[in-house]
Amino acid sequence: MGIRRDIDARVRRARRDARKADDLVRDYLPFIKAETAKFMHRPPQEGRDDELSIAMFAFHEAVMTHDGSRGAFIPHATRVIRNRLVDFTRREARHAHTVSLDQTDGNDDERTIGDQIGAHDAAVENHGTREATRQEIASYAKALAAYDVSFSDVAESCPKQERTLATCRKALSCAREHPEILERLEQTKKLPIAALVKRGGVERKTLERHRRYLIALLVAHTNGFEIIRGHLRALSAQPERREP
Amino acid sequence: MTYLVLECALSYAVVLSEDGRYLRVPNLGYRAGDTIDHVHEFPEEAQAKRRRFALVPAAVRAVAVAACLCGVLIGGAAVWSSPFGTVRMRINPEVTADVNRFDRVVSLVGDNADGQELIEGYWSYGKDVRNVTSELAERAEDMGFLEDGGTIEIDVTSEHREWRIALEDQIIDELTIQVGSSDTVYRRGAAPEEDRSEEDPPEERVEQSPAAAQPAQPSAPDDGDADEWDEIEVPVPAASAPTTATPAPPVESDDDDDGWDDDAGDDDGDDDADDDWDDDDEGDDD
Repeated sequence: MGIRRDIDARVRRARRDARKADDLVRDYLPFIKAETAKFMHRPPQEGRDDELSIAMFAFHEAVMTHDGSRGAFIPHATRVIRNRLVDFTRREARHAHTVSLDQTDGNDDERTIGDQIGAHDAAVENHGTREATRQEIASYAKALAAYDVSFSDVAESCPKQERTLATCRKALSCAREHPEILERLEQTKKLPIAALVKRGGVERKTLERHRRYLIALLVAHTNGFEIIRGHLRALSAQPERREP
Repeated sequence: MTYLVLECALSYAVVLSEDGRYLRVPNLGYRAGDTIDHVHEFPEEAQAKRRRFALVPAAVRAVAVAACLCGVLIGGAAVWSSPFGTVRMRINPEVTADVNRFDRVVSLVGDNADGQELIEGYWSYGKDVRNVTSELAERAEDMGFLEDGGTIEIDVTSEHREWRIALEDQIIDELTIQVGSSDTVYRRGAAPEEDRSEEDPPEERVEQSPAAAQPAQPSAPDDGDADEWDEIEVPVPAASAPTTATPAPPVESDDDDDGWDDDAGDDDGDDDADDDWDDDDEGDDD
């Protein structure tokens, strides 16, 4: 009973905090491995079996979504882990005939297929680019921290519906057309909702609900984040969609 | 679609898609700065439950729905077509209708030749039994089976007593309103008084009276003549007794026309008196 109360209290504290939930995953890794082994009918190997990563993500999700009034946490986590593993297995079954570049070619020298076709060499060549990207991402995270926003918060705040995404893109277009909005964002560290509503013609409620997501998007379009902006070229290329 | 890995933790990674979505996905060995082509994006748990149901092949779902539909249709048809009771209607034509639990006629047959003639060309299936009896009464009038002063006898039988009584009352009430005072509607076993008086012989009527069993008041059958014996000295209580459909106590009667009571030798005072009157009647006739 005491153990159950302890974990329930920890889950309550970790709820809505991705980092604390991740710490809980680390503490309950033996339990997660046991549940994965039950599903796989063999012990999972860390770093090799994707099922273990899926189970860890499912446990993390269970922590973030657990409602204490609807029962104990462990049975809930067990159910979520199993459901996610079932989903993952079904999806993977569709790609059963896909060959990975990281697979060995079957010979004893353990050379991967990627090594043979030169993909690995290309990856080495891109190592410098990756390092630059990593530095830019760190700067981006630091810039967002000034707004008291983390990447996990942005992921939480990201719209799920395509229509809402279109509204947010419309707000971004407005900010890019009016650089003073971006300047004001950098100066005040607050999203200029009134200006976006007035000039962009978007709904205030949508902007307020997805405030952290919009901050992340607008910050990425300020000076200094060329790689990230380059990655978002599809976003920039997308035509504005008219709301129904 | 490519994804840029922004943040990595033990259990998850945050990636940025080309179309500007920030996603938290399982960390399958990613590192910050990686660009990946595919991520495992899970829907929220509530959506996942719906999708798991949707994963059942469409053909299986269609077959399951069709099976359920067939079951409902077959069950409904069985309930609809199973008779809940029977309504017999006798004018001179006799017809019998099987009625389901919804008071709808599921079969109608003529019990005699006139009945078959009455229902010939008449569609009754699925109609309310009250409407059917009403329409049959109307047809009987049109076809000359039911004339003024005629009778309609209704008999409802069912294992469900309350349903039977209620339906019988409703049919009789509606037919009574329909035919008015020209004809008579009654339930079986409750024939109107004048009909019974025409059918029953006078001897039976006398003997059905409870008063006729009293030895102090000998009762004698009305012999039909107008002699003074019958009118003055012999009280005939049966003549004033009400003729009802209530069954009389069983009384032995002399039904033959020989003028003699067959059990004249017994000690029953009533029969002895009858014997005396019979003797006298014979003398009168002589």
